[in-house]
Amino acid sequence: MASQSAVDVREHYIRGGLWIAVMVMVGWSLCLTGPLAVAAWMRYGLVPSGALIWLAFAVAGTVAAVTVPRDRGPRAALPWTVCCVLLAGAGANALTVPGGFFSHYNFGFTTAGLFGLVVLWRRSFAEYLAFLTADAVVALLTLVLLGEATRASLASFIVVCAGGGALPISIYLGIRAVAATATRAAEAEDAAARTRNTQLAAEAVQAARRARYETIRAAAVRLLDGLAAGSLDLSAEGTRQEIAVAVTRLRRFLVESDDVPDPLSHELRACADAAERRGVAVDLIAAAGAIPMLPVGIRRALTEPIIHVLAATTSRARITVVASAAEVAVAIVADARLAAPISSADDSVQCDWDEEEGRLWAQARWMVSSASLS
Amino acid sequence: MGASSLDGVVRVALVEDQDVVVEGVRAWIAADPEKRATVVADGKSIEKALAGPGRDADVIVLDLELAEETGGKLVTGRVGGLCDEGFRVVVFSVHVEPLIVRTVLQAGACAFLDKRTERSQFVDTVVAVAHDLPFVTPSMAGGLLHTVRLSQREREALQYLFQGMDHASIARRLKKTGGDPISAATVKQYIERSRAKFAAAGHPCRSQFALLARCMELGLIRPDEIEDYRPGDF
Repeated sequence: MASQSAVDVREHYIRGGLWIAVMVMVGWSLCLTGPLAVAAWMRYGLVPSGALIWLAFAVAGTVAAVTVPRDRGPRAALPWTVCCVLLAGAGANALTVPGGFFSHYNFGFTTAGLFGLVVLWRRSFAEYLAFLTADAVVALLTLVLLGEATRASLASFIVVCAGGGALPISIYLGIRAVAATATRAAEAEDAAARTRNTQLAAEAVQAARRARYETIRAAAVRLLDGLAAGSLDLSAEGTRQEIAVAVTRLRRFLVESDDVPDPLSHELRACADAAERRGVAVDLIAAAGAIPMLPVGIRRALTEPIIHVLAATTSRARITVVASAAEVAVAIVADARLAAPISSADDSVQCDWDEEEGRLWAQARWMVSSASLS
Repeated sequence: MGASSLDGVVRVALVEDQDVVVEGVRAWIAADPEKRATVVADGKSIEKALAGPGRDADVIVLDLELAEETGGKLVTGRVGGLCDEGFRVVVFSVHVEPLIVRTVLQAGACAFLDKRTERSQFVDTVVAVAHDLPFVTPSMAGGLLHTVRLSQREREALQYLFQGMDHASIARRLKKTGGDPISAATVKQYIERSRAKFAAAGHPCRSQFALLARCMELGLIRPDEIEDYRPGDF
């Protein structure tokens, strides 16, 4: 299936070709058949001159030039109606002009072929060829009706057919060939772009995995080293909190790449689970408002204060999220005492905390920057 | 039913299908030092609870999860009908998701209580509702946010209440222009005004009209302000 850009490229060339066909049609009418019709009118009068037929062709050509460029798909009725007008005009012109079929005033036959090119530009080549054949059949019938069907005139007729059909057929097939080449080039470019994007995606995934590994390593290795070396005092409150923070971070990291509709709540649930395993009763309340999609860095900055407070919580914590498209506030109220102040890991996230009578309130608040809004 | 029938003690009908919760609520109400309320009826379904003296209760405390009613589905759809009949409904549930809270409040419930709430707050809420006072619990605060047009201060006060702060703590955080903290009474006014705005925009029923009338008496909202608040303005 062709990509959208390849389809657009093809349409661009087809439309360009259509304007070439329109210009040929207009040029032919104004520079060649128009002066002929005027000259015949001056000499033979209005009806035999073919001026009325020229006018009918001009109307049909204008209708086609207006409707066909706007139409990206084939229209059933209109093109064939216009074609019937063209064929009738070609026949009438041949039968009425002075001087017989091969008179230079009999412009209808070749003119119909050029006008038909515009009318049937969106149709298949077979349909256009069928129209040219019908035009030739009409012309041949008029040749017979005029009593001019001699061997020599039939030979001349074949030459006129070949000459009159060569230009429109060349335009039709030439533009299609150019469009096909351009479409193939666009498809090749699309395929190359897809390959580049796939490669970039693979590199991004690899980089994210590497970053996750480094983060997990940073969170755990120092503590494990301390435990192995016996340098960590497990009875110290600070050490216990540090280990709790590391364990909760690990649980958050494990769920960060989960494919869930609400990743922030999912990660907060993981943090709450880690705390509950240590015996803390955590109320994680469903978010008030819809949480917008946030990048992992912002989500980490929002959950980090919660992790620190949960690590310091003695028995009970309440976690809430208040969200809107422009702001997300994650807060915790707990019976906790922080060993160190909370700071934000991201400039767009503001951290606040307050302690009162053994209860600690902390909030991480992300807001859309004014630059993002503009 | 209705403030005029109050004789000092609030009559409570409890719709709850778990015996342990029924016993707990009865014990909580009985333990209130001021004996402000009494349970006059209880039942495992709305019909059973309201069959006898429960019909004249001042407040119906309704659990949303009743096996007899809907086979485990929440009975949020029944709240509007009860309110239309003139009952003051306090929803008592573990389903504290703001969407559910908002749904039952919009249907006309006077208050929403988290089942993990403390005893004193339970009795305070029931008594306040019986007297048509605009009482807002932390669970309700989450449901009221983003629903009606609130001032910046009202929104902040509701948000802190939802987060779990009491009025005094909220007052410490909401500072005046000069930097001094505002009073807890002002915080209470912000929160109650939010409740009044929500009542003005919610399901029109007797309890909500009574709540609005009380809010006007208390000077929380003026009649000409009510026109301004419509659901969906957020």
